[in-house]
Amino acid sequence: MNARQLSRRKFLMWSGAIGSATLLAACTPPAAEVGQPAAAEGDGADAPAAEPVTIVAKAWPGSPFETESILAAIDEFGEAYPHYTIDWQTEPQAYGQKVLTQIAAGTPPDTMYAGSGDFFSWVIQGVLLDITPYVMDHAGFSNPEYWTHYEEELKRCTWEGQWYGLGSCWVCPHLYTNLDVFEAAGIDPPSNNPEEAWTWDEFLTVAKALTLDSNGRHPDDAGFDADNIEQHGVQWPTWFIPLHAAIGSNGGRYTAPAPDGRFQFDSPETMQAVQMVADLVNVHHVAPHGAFFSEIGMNNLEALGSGRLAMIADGSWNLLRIQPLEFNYGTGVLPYMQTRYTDIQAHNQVMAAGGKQPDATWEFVAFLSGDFYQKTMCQGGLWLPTHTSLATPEGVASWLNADVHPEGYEMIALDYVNQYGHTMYMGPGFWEANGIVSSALDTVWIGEAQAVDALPAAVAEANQVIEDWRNRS
Amino acid sequence: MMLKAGGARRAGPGHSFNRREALWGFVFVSPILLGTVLWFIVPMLAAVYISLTDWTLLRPPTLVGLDNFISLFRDRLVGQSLKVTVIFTVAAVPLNLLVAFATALLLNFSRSRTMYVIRVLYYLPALVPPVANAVLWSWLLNSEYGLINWLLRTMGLPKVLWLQDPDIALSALIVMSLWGFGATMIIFLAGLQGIPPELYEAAKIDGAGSRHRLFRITIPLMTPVIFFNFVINMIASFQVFTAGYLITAGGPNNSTLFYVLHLYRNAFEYLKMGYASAMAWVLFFIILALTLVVFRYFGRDVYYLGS
Repeated sequence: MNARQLSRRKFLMWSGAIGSATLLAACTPPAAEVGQPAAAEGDGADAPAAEPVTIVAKAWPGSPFETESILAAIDEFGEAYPHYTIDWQTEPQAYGQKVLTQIAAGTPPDTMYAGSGDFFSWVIQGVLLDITPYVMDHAGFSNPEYWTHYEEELKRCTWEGQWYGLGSCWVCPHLYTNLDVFEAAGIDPPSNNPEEAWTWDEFLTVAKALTLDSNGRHPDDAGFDADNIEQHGVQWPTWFIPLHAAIGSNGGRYTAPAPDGRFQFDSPETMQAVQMVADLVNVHHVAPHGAFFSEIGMNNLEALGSGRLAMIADGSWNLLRIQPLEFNYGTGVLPYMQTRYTDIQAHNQVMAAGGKQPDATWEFVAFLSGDFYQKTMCQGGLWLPTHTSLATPEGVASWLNADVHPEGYEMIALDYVNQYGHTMYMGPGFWEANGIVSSALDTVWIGEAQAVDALPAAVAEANQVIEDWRNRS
Repeated sequence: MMLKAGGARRAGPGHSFNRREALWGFVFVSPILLGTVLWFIVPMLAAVYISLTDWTLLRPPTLVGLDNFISLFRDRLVGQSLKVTVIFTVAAVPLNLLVAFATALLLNFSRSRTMYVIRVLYYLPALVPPVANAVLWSWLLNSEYGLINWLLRTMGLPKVLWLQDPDIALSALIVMSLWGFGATMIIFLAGLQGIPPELYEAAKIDGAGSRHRLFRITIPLMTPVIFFNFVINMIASFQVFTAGYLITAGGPNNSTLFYVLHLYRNAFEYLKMGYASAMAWVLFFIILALTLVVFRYFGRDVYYLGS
């Protein structure tokens, strides 16, 4: 028998060939090009009503309440559209990166969340479907009266006059209070009525009165021990949402409006606002250092509930998380430096440009953006309404929940948001530029540098990043 | 089945067995071979191409020549991240080797049951997942409620902003890196137990004290293991990521921005795949160059028993 040897060379050659073929097969995207709507599959591209439809929806995971709410919404949707199957997929880590990877691979979800910090980058890079024709055909969405804050709705959902998403809701930062701490100190808590908002000085006076060291002294008392504070008057987180609210209330801007997007931290108003927030920690000793709650596994809400904090400035969505802590909590509008102001934003429900069944997907997106789902999420304390139908007395009654919302909370949800709420433009390069400015701010938050010294150079560097991204886009 | 030595070389049934054996050999090594080709060689070659492009994942890559490499020199944060990584390596690697070696020497004194238990205890932290380690240390180092600051306070010392002060945060991470010295220690221990006892006995008979035995027998015979641990630790140290990512997020003020963290951000947060690939190749060459330098200048001082 003339046996043939399998040489190493041949083996390696075949292994390489098989491996490469496998890799190429795995990496080859389906026919639809990224950034382009899929070609219609004949007349059946959008399945006729009776044919089964599967919608892949991508989201970040939420609390058990959110999971229950979305399941309830999907059930409700299924009543009207029994032939639909909704594949609701969640990504616990690196949501944006995973969605973009899916899109780059040519297998985009039909619909997904777009965070406010990603939305415009995705629009400009052609990831999202222009849904203007659908919005204009919809009796509700196309009507400015449908929205409680139409002007800001347009700012966050449209680019160059075209709609690329529907805002899920509003959220805004406001004050949370431990009412027992206020009562023990004999101090009136802040109001939910924006017209009764504290000035910054009034706020500081209250924060000092509620700050106690281990000997029961206040920051302005002789012998106050700043290293042994038992109860801080306030916590003002320094990430972009609460910081934007503070900056805006001093007449400053975080970023320039669309389509500019450059950082404006070097304006006198912005630097002053940043310094005033930093001074809460380093000069007035009424607030704890930055991230120490998260470092110890106790969040600021738990610290509020335990009485280690008297007030916090944090997002409205935290009503959902604060309610189960079962302490006597209250809410109030933020104090202001020059003008009443709060940040409003939320994720948009968007459709991928490469989706294969846009018409069928729109039915689900339109349902999610309707009253049923928004009302459910508002009832739990996670969302604030954007629909005028939920702002009427009957509408408010349908979601205001005495188990969750403190008395008068509708003034925050409606009056404060709609009169004093402002979105912030976060365009391409925002996260990279924000990282540069945030790094410079680290030294300000611990009192090692003043905002006026730390920020101008960082802003110049950050804006170079924005400029580079604009050139790439 | 009985086999005669050399029989496989002859033609006939033995020859066929040889072929079959070779085939099975290749079949068994093929997973690792394919894995190496698919998950190392191909991505590395792909990274060469990507490093010459501007690619955000969402649009086809556009060739930009060496722009990404040139941009590296203009990126302040590349310089900062290299500085942080080098400081970390220079401080953490020798410290780790010293502590691991000293502990291995102590644990090598006796082979009693107690010593086995102690050995396991020292090794245990190396088994803790890096994420759990990071969470644990962020609690210990917490400025308000951390155990370390509590100890300082009980001694009347002021609290230290371990993770918030740019001048201190990197030192805190260097100290933290010692927590995982158990893996290095075990390799040292294995090396120590491989030294022939008769060498120590002979030295004792000749009147050598413990210090002489350490410097004249133990350390010279351990140089291959020390060298191995040094190279492995150095390479790992240049690729350090977890602590900077999970505990400090590169801050405060970029004082813990490790090179790989900056690379990761460029790739997966800023979607600059071309730039990140260029960074990856630069890191590869830095590590390669340093390893060659280490082999060139320290390799000759390594003593192999019997060589």
